[in-house]
Amino acid sequence: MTLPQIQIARAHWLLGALFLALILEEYLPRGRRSGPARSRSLVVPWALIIGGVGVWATTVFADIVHDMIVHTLWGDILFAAGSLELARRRGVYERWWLDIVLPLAYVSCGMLFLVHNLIDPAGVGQNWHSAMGLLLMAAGLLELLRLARGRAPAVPISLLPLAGFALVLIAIPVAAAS
Amino acid sequence: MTRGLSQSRLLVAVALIAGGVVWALVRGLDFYGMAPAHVGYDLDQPPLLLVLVGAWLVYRSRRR
Repeated sequence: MTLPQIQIARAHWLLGALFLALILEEYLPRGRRSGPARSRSLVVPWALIIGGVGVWATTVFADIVHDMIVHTLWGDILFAAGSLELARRRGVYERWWLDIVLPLAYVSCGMLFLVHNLIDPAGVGQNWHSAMGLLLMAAGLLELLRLARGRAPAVPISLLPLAGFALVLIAIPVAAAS
Repeated sequence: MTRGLSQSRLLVAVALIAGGVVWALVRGLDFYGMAPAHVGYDLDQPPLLLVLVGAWLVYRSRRR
């Protein structure tokens, strides 16, 4: 069973909106005292897990093998990141390296966009895939840099490439579906 | 500055809702019907999703 283009676009719109809500929840300050480094919102890990399940479902519906593989790996990364974040935010698992879970998830998901291009060089939307991958990788690297420097700005600069990625994910399939 | 940061969620929410409304006016929206199976299609359109994310952000900015 394969899905028509409009259904694929709808799935991308939904995942883009979910990701946009996730990053705004994570990185926009909630009040004068709260910063992104102290976020304990359970919305974020749940959104990651739900997103992981949604992406993983492509394995069932895709008819191109590299789409199946890459989407499965995206789902795995999102599910693992969501599970670790859920454990940290519930306070049942505290390790220093949990701070880099989200940045590493961004970087690795971004790299998979580039891998997607490499294994399917004739595929449509190569430039957009590259742009989305680079946006995610830039966001992850900016977050890693922020953590390494020990700074916690009220609104991290990585929010810009992350928001760009989410908006591209929402907007680009519009052209494909119309 | 501090006041602006504390209201950043609200500002971004307003921008998203305004963007969604403009997008809907420019592109138009499709109506699939009010049956439960079709309501999902009605809501799952980019302009409406932007408005929904904006509304979610307004809700999250007012909870505490």
